[in-house]
Amino acid sequence: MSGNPGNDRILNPSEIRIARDPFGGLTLFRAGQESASGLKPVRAFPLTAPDRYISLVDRENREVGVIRDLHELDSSSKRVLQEELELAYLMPKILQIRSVVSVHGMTTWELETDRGPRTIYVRERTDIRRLRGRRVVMTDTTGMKYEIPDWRALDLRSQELLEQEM
Amino acid sequence: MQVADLNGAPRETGDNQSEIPEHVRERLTERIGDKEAIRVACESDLLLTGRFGSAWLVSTDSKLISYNPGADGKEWVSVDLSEVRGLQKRDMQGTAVLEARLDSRAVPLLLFTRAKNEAVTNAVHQIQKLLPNPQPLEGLRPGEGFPPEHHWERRRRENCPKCGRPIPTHIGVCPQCLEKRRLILRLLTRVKPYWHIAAGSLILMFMITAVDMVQPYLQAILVDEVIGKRALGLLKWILAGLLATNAASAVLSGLRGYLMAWFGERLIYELRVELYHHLQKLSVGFYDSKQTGWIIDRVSSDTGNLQDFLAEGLQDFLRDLLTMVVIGAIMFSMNAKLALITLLPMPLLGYLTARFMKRSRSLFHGMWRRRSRIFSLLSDVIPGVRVVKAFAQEAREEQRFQERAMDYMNASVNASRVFATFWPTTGFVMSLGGLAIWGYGGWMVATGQHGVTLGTLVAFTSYLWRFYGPVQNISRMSQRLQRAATSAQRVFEVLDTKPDVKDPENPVPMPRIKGAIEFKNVTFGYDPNIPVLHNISFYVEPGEMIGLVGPSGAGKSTTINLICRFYDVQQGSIEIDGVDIRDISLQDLHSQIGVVLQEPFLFHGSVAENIAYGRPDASLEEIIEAARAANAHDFIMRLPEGYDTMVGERGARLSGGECQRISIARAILKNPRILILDEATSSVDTETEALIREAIDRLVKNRTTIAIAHRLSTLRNADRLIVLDNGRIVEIGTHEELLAKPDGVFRRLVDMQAELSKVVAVGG
Repeated sequence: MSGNPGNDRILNPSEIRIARDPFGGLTLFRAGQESASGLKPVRAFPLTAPDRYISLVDRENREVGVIRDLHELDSSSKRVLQEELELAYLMPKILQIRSVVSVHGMTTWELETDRGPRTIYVRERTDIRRLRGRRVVMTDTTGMKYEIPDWRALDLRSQELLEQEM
Repeated sequence: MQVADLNGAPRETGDNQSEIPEHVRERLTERIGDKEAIRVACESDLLLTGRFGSAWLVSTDSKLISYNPGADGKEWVSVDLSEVRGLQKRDMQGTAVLEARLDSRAVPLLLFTRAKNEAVTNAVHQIQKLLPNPQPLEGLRPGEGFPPEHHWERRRRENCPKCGRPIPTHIGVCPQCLEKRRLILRLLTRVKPYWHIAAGSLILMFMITAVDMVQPYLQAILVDEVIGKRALGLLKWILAGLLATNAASAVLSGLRGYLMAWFGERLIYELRVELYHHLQKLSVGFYDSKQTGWIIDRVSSDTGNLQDFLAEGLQDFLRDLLTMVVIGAIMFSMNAKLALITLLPMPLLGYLTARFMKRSRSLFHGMWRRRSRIFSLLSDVIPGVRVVKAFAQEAREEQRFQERAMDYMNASVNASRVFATFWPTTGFVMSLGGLAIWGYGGWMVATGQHGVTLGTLVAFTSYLWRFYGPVQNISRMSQRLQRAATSAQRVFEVLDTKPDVKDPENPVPMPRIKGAIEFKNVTFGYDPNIPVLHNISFYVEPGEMIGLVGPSGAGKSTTINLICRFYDVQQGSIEIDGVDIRDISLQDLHSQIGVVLQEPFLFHGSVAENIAYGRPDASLEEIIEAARAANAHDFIMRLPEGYDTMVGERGARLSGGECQRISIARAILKNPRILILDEATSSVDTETEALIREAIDRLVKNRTTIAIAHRLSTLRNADRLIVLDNGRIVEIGTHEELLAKPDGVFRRLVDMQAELSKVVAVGG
């Protein structure tokens, strides 16, 4: 058997640079040379460690390399990657729950988020996921995720509405 | 479709132009000027900055314009169509971005969520037509948008065709769009044949109600005449009257209970049988789209819900209504003022009950969910106890359990709090009525000017308590109605589904198929937008054995599904002996096709019954012959009860190879003209494989055979092989011919398997 196949994929942060690909996506430079373009960042732990272990995949979804920690990158690479991640993993934060209407387990939520107001449909209770540290992530029927970093930090009315459905 | 463009003159546009609201139209006109018409327009739910909002992408004959109202610095994006080399869509997690590809860069045009995927995809196909030199779309093919949300599970994800809202998976019906009245009426038509039973029970019910009403009246006489005026002679008559009404009530109730039970069971029996009959007629496509549990629920629990409603709910409702009206009438006739005061708290009681039912339902659901979380943890951890112990994780599991148990406890306490407040509150409201009687009524009796006697008071109290039950029941009625309507909708949905694969009206009689099969330019997809087979053509001689080869997902199973006519092709045709299979009756076709499936399915029943499944009239000798030919006889004889041994679910545990051979015996006994073999020898040991192969060799003689196998060596006997890849035929020929092609697909597969068996040989 060859050695551990995972480790040589980890990119050395001091040897790489990430820039925006003018044709969309990201371009990876290794040792100053353009090495791959049109890349998409994919988080290994999108919920629990969003900044660590970010895989760069090409248009055919083949992994080109893995960034161990976003914060190890130089500032310009970091900014570009962060911007791309933010759009790709659009996960609005829920600031307030205005109303919840539940019909046979399917719920309609009127929310105030950090990206503006939004009405979402949540099909099943399993789409409301409780994570460590009182964090809640809801997935709506279109697959978009919404986050509550600490549900106890919401106003009381929102807490009450959320608790009913959890 | 005609849509007025910005010039005001109607112009031809595509079907997919979204309606542009007036304020957006004005802003766009300012930007574009009034010379140019909007050809394509489409709305997104995200701005380019990633905020929620309504963004618009429009195309004129010369420009692509993206309008993002309120987006900082990105309000307008505009590119000339002449510069655009193509459009590309990049899928991200939950969102996607549409970009225009220019010579030196790509310009983001629209950011959108899955909800808008279809609209954007349609718009892009139209914009594509406006491009001067269009290039193939990148990341956008018709019918292909986002990858499925959860690709590991095949959950039904649908939106209501009427209101567009998503449908909850576990109920499968849009709760907002239920036409309750129509459904209930349709349900009632089923009662019609038994109208005399229903009427009889209704009459009984009226009688019981009437008898119940007499009792307080007798009590009033008892108090006023017997006690008040010491008319002792009357006492025995009153007592006899009370006794008689009690007895009559008991007898009538018993009679009615029996009648209703019979009535309910009969209705539901008919509905179940009809439902099952219809299920048997439906095509395989229906079963693909529904989960097994969903279908079982329709036959079991929904019909049960309807029984409850038809037999009990409806009559209860009538009785309650009647009781309320009659008691109200009696009370008002006895004394209108007192009746008014007494019944004053009733609306409050009704309101409280309705509210409480709603609240308690969500509380109960909460408790139920938390309790099932405890159970799911138990059913997860207890079977895995070896892993827990081996990894020394007992403490963590205890901790997890404790958390969930605590969660449940809190929910229970919370629910109890609501119950603890509800019952005393309603009790209190009810006592207000009693208080009103004794207070106001007492004053009336004491003053003696209002014609109210003590007996009236006693009767009033008695009537009042009989009034409470109906009020509470009726407050709950809307819930029962909703549940019945939902069940009815689901049952009718199944009954109204038409089979996709229809029996021909004038079938060509095919008493004995010769076995020539021809695919003529067949294109097919389970979802018509996503073809699985592309333009497949081949001819199979009668008696020929064909091997279907190819990587998984190539379309092998789909091909045999089409031969069995589990589905109908979308383009082209399949002919058997020169007759389109759509012109052959399903009975003729299926009685002459034998199938040995990848996972042999044995029904619960004896070995003999399973072998004779396709020919229940087969003699015992024929069954044994078939088993012998399938190399199954020997192991069957070793079973404790031989051919009478029960197999299938809850039956004797047979190994995969044994099941396989029983299903081969089943096919041999049926003696079909066309045989379908799917992967008959996977996952069995070498010796069993030899036995199975021998059985198959006997089976394939004298009939057309289509076989699928991953082990290429098992297809050595095939006359010809058809190699499929990505839904297309890539190679066709004999074993030797295909092996002779050095860079052929078949050659590559054979080499890979040889490589694999070397590894197994070394490692194992």
